Amino acid sequence: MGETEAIELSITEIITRLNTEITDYTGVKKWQEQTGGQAVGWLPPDVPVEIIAAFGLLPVAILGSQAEVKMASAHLPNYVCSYMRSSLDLVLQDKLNFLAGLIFPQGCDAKKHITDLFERNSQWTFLHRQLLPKQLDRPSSRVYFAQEIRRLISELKRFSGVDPTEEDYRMAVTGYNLNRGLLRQIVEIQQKKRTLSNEQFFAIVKSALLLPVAQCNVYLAEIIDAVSAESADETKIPLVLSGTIVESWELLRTLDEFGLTIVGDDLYAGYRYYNQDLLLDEGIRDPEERIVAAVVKRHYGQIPYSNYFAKDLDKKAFILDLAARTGARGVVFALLKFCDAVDYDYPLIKEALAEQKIPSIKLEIEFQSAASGQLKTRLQAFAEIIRGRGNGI
Amino acid sequence: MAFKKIDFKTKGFLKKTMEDYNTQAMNAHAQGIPVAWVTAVFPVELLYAMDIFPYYPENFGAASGTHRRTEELSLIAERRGYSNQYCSYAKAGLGLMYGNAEQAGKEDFGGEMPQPDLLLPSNIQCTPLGKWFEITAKYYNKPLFLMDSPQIEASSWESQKAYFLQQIHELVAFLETSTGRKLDLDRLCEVLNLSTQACDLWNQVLLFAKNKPARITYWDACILMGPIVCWRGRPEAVHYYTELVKELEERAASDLVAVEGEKIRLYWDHIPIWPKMRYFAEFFGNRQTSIVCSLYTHSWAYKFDAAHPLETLAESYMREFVNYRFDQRVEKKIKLMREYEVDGFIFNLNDSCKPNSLALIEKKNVISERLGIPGMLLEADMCDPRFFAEGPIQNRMESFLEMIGSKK
Repeated sequence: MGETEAIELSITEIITRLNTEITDYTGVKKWQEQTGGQAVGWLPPDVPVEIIAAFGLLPVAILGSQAEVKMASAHLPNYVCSYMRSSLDLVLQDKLNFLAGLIFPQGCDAKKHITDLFERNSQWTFLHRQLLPKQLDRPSSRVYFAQEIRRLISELKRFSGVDPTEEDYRMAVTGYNLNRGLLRQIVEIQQKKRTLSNEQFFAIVKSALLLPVAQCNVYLAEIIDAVSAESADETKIPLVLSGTIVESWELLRTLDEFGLTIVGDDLYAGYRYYNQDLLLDEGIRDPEERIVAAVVKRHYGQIPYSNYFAKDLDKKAFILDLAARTGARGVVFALLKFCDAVDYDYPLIKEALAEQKIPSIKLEIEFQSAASGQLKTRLQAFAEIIRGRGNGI
Repeated sequence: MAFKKIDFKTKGFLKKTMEDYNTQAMNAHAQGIPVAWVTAVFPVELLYAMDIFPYYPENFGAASGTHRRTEELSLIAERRGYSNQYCSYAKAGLGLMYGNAEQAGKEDFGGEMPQPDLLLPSNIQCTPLGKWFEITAKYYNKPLFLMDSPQIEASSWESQKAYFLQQIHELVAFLETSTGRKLDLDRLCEVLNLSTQACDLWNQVLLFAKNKPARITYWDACILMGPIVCWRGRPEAVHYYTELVKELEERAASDLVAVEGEKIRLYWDHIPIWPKMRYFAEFFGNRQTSIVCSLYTHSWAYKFDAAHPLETLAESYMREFVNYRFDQRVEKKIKLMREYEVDGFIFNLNDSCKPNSLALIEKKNVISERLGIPGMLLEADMCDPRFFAEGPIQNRMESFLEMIGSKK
């Protein structure tokens, strides 16, 4: 017991340091002071951060805020999701002025039409709209996506005055591949041992979206060392989490409270970000075309996302498979309120899970919502249903 | 003076034109004609040229609103797990599909919508329509083709045009494979010319609201627009609008106006609140106010270049107003407001149509400042009565009109 407690403390210590770095972009601001470098914001999904890094710029994800929204409500109708609402609030409150610019992927209708409001209410001279094809099946999709990646490179060149060398691209790709690989190792350990709390696990994922990659990789390696020494916690129930982004730390804590541990997810601020490396094809001689081809290849090998249409990329099949692969005993749908496309997919997935007798629960989440009594009651009941299924737990 | 709506003499012709559309849609399968579900902004000229019948389920959505069935149908979808917060057209359509399926012995869609053989959404308007079609495609195990329309971006324009054109070619191949029908380009050119003719006539119709007082209002246009949506590319639209233009010319000659004693002219954005059409028409009519224009009714203004049939389809359909950025969309609104000499404008923050209403609060401020006219925001769903509070809305509209009246 004593040894276990010491390791627990070690993990806690690492996560505490990591949390300090990711709170209020502290790590990013320190990096800026130390290097004099510029940071560029980006929003998930599907922005190739390796390309930003190859320009010597620090890619920093904008993940909204759990703080009370103060100014954005005067600019937006009430049916805009709390991710976009709180992110715009950060802009309006000048809290993102440390960024030199922003890359805005138009992954959904809200992002498509809110980009203008970010542009109108900020001082950035660089705001790049990354246009994403929403049909993935036909040849035209890849051709257009590749053109969009070339346009991103061209706009970054114009903005930064930098023309990355082959080595710049390679370095960036190596750093982020290591990062994604470490994240995959952590989730694999989590699937086996369930040592980390949900809150800890998602803080780790968040650090990859927010910190300079080299710094993050040191943290991740430390965490892997610490977690590897742990024994498995068989009392925790493994679950799959489905949604887009979970910044509701109260939800994660409540899941922890009832011994429910996320071992697989389909979040774009989660597994979608780190499930694949960027693989450079050495057969392509031009370094720019080489990275374009790699980004295209990764994009078309991605997991499902509700805003994309692809015949053979079925989200229902993916969730069922993920639950089977990870040994999950239930699925939590943490769906961001007003996130239309994702919500349209939910009923058919729920039905399929029910047919396979996999319990699921739908939670409508918002960035600003605290854990309500109702949430606790529902999750407690959910945990009891799963535990009631036996397996000695 | 109490408002009295003057019926159009061509009302019967409109009714028959739309009934013919629905009859042909419902009889298509019996005649061996495939039915393709399409969203409103889809290059349907290709379908008419290939004798594939394009059916617009959004019309059903709007009709369910007009007939006050949206809530009942939505509840069926909501029981299946669909949220009550999303597009009320989609909720009504899904409710009908599942509702009829739940009632044993009844044919799917209860004779109200033809079953699709193909599902052809475009996401120019939005993603939810595509999701609705995707769910339907799975339900009936039918193929779906999404016409993808990224937002128009100057620095991406050449590759966007190429992307859209390539998709048009892919669509033709998809239609030929799915139906066994071949596209005849000469036939397509005929359809494109008919479509251009109908759009031209439709825009002549809308111009009658430029008259002071207006000969027609937005409320009329929302009903009169049926054929330009459904029959675009077919002689039926040309015939009907030819007669309607004649009637409006007669109205002008005999000085017949839409709102007697018109004092205030307004712009409306965007889709009407279908179950309350009559309420709004009477509310404004009784206050000598004409709603004279809206980008919604002015959407159908295609001028196809039949010399380049596929290219013209690609470019025309990409340039739908909702696919533009903030500034360009503001300019389009301002242009209409200036041309139709409005005293103010009403923007509805329609939660069923986020792409059209998400940025309206800032647009209101920008336009008011640019034109020096007041704007008003409404919050109401286009169909679902659960999201329409008549009392507060009426109070705000009263105050708004009083404010404009006091300035005139």
